[in-house]
Amino acid sequence: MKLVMDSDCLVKLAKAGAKEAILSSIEVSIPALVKKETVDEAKVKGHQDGLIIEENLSKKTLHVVEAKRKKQSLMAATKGEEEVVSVYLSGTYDAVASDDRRFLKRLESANIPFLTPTACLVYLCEEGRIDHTEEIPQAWRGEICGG
Amino acid sequence: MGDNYARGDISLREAAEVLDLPLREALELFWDMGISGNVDADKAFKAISLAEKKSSKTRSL
Repeated sequence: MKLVMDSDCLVKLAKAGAKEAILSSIEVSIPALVKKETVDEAKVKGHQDGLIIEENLSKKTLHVVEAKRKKQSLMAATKGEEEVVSVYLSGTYDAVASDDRRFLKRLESANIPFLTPTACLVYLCEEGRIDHTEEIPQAWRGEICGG
Repeated sequence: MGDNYARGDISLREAAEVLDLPLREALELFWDMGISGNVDADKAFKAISLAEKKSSKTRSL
C-alpha cells in the first residue's frame, strides 16, 4: 500500500512507537512542508521524533515527494493540506493518512480515500505484520485487535 | 481555540496559524491541554474499513 502522510499522523505514530512498523509495511511519502513541520521545526524545538523521522528519510524508508500541482481546486485547504493532496493526486497512492477531522472531512468531500493512524495499524494487523501483544501502543490495542 | 480544534471546526494547521505557532508546537500545546485528537467515530470507522479492504489477506478471503 502507498500512502501520503500528513504531519499529525506521522508525529503521532512516531511518538507512539508505531512508525517503524508502519514504514516497514507501507510505502509512505510526505510533501516538503510535512518534512519541514515534522523534522526541521521539531529539531529546532528539541523534539526527539524529529531526529527519528530524519533518520527514516536518510534510510529511504520514508520519502519526500515534491508537490507538483501548484493549484488544485478540489477543496479549500491550508497550504500544508494542499501539498498533501497535490502529492496524492500526482502519484499512484492508495490514500491520504491524517489524524485531523477537518482535513479528513475535506478529503471525504473530494472523494479522496483516507486512513487515520489507528487505521494504519489495523492494516498492519490485518496483514499479520505486527504482533499486537507487543508492538501496538497500549491505548490502541483493544480498539484494533480486540485486546 | 482548543475547543474549536477538538470539535473539528478548524484543522490543526488553521489553529496553528491563528496561534502563530509552528504546527508541531500547536500539536504539543493541544496534547498538554488533554486534546490528543479530534477524529470522530464516523471518520475512524471509514478509515478502518478502508484499511481492511486494502489488506491483501482480507481481499483474498
